[in-house]
Amino acid sequence: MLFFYVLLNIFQLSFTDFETHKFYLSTTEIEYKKEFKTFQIMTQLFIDDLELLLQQQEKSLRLFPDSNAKHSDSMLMFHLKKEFQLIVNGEPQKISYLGKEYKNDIVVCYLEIFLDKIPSTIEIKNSMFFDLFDSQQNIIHYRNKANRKSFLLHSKSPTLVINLTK
Amino acid sequence: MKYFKTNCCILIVFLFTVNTKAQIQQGHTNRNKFKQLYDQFASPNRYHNASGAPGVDYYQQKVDYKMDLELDDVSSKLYGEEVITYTNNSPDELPYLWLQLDQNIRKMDAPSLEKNSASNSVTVRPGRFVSNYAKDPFDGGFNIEWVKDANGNSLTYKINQTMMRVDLPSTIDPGEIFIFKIKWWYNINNHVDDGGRSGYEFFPEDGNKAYVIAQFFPRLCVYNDVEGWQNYQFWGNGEFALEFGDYQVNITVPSDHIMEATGRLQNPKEVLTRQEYRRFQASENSFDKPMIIVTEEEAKAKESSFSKKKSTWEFVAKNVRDFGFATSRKFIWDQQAVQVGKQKVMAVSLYPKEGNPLWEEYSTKAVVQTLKSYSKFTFDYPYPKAVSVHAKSQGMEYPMICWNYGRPDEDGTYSDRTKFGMISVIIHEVGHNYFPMIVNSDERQWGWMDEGLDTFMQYLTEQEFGETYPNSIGSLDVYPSRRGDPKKIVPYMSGNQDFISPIMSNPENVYQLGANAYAKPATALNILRETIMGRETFDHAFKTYSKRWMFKHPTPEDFFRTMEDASAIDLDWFWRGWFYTTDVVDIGVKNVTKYYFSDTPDQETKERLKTYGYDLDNLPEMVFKIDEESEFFDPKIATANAIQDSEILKNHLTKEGLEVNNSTPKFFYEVEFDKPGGLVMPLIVEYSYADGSTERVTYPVQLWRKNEKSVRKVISSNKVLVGVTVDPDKVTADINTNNNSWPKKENPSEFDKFKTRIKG
Repeated sequence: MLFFYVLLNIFQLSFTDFETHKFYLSTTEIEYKKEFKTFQIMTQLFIDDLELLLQQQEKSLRLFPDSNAKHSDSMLMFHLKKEFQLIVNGEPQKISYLGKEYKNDIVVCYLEIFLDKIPSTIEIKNSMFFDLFDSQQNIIHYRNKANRKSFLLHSKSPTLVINLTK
Repeated sequence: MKYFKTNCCILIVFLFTVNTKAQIQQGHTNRNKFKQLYDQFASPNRYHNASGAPGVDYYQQKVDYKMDLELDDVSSKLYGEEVITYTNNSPDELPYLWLQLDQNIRKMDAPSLEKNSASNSVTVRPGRFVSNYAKDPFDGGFNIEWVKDANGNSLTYKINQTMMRVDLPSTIDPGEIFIFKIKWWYNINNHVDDGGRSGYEFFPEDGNKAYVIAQFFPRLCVYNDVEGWQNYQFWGNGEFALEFGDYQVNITVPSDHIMEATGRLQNPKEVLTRQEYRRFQASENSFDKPMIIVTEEEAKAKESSFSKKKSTWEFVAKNVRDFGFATSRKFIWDQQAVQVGKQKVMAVSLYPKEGNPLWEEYSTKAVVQTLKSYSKFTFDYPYPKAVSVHAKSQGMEYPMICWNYGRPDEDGTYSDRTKFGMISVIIHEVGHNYFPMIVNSDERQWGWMDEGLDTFMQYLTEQEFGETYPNSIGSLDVYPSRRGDPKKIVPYMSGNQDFISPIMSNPENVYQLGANAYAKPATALNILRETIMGRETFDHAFKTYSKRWMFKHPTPEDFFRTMEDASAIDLDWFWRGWFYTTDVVDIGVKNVTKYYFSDTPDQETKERLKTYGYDLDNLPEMVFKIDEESEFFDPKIATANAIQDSEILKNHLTKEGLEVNNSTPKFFYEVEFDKPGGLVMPLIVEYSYADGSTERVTYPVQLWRKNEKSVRKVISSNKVLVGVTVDPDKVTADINTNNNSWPKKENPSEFDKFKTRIKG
């Protein structure tokens, strides 16, 4: 079974003792819904990380409240499509972006994938923010009815493979 | 919904299954969730007693400092000469003293620079590349010029990373005082580029620096009965353990600077302009709103002056554990007076124009609210002032002074996120005056003792801030606190156990310090107050702890013991579960069975009675439980009324002088609750009935003491039970609410909820 144990101190902390957040981390939950033949995906990103990413292209852009919600949505969609990929049974999947919402200092992005066959292998790549932060870590939680697996992706290991037939 | 309680001696036969498997079971040690915490606690003694108070022999050292400092603004260097008066109140002879040299964490060869594992990304941004590989490394750390005794004789010393041992010509005996002097200097770091809790921010537009200076002088380590010398190296995360003492500090800076610091300013007339001095004096009696001492226009006008003249600001502070100061010609300055108990306290703000308009509007308000709310829950603020200084990306506390982030955009606009972030960090850092500046726990060993207690108090204060200034929260119902609400800790506590540490861990060794040392203990205390102890009992115990340990060094046990000692509530199970383990709350309702009582046994009961050896034709007077799910169940009984249709029960009720009426129970249920989570918690249940009524019951946590996996309760009612909900208000941080309802309700997932919302 492929399972990632990270024994080292994974969250790089800065020296200040009360910051908006002190480590570069995102969390993505992927749930396989057999009855609908879909992957339901929620990606949680720190708002200030995302804002910084989008500001690389457009300095005046602001999030929460968005200076231009439509525009920031389309930019976010662009980055998610570039950095977040799912390959099911060897075939790249089309990811639909449903929208985003803000919760405290986090933005939750909702994505969905419709499948035409039962998945046997899933390859997931999540390189979100790897260009921006050296110490970025992306946690993936995969879940179906029977299983729950967690993985940690970082710039040296941006992809993972889950074999569901084993 | 009266419970069926009679004293008559009716034998009610409940069916039970007998485990017939014969097997030798192995023994075990006490693994009960309510086991006493003696195995984790240090033994009480004459220094820290069993009720959680300072013991009869409690002592602590006193360390007084007299310092002359000079800031070189051009080359960003700080020079200092300090005279230290060390009073040995311990019963021990001390052959040497240990001092903290926190600046050494920035020495070029500091081991702390290599404490984390690191790897390179596939791509590296140019700025990062330059600072990592091309720029000269910052030449930080203390340069100790000399260490001398009171007579000017050199003392030998040895530096080990961030600790310096000063060897003494002869031991300092109990009760003795030792005076010595140190001369030092260091290069001040740019805290925006290079990080750190202190340093300067450089403003390229006008060429100025704003300094927030702390951990800037060799400071005595704590010596006590718990750690001996607390000389655990400074690695960056674990903060400080320091002794109380009196400070007299003279700081020389360019004369166009404005400064704030720990302690009362002794020479305002000398260092302020005449106009500033007039406003300074007037502000000391402004109780209703802040008065501005240096305006934005005045601060802006000074930005280009770069005065070559010098001024020396003199500060005196009594009974503080540390000293910090902020200085720049860019600072705008306002303050107002607050009445705290019998004491007048100044609430002060210092900020560059880059902080406006946000800082002028909210900083001093947040300081005032913090002083009022914290004092109410702990003790009256004992210092003459509390200062909030604006420094980019900082959030750090020192006695009477702290640095806080929250900067508007260049055009002066700011988001709610920036505003609430700024108000929250000010409350948090000013709040640190109480924990750990006054209730002085060992931060290097236990991050949660100050951060957790402070974040809990921050939550209460934020809520009060929202009530005091309703305009500040706009259309929101309450102040949007990030931490404290039980629901908000669920994502952390339900996370991957590989990356979670117990609260009782050293701050250097935990994965998510914010969740571990701030949010989880704050939430635990909030749950303790709202759900387990009740506000009044909790508040009394919390205040007792705060007062007992004012200006002293408490340990975790002192907190745990005091909370029990002052409340008569055994909380060993709570401390063990929430603080010493990473267990989670997950309590559910597993099953509800309906049953009836009858004068005559059904077939199943008859079989069972026979095996017990009863003569079925000659049974003693008893009624029989008839389970609805039994295969012999006769549906006719479902329409019967257990009491009215039972001659036996009716007779007994009459004998007791009771009447059969509408409120006499007709329906009986057995409800089974299970607990997949490791934590025990009070069981909060809402029962719903067919007529639309509901009833809340809170079963004490002790319910789990003999079987922590599953418990049952019998509900007797004159109404039909239609629903059971565990923790209906989500106040226990239950990580899985899918098992909280009967009949089973599949809670829509966050994903489904979002999808419904966007369709809606």
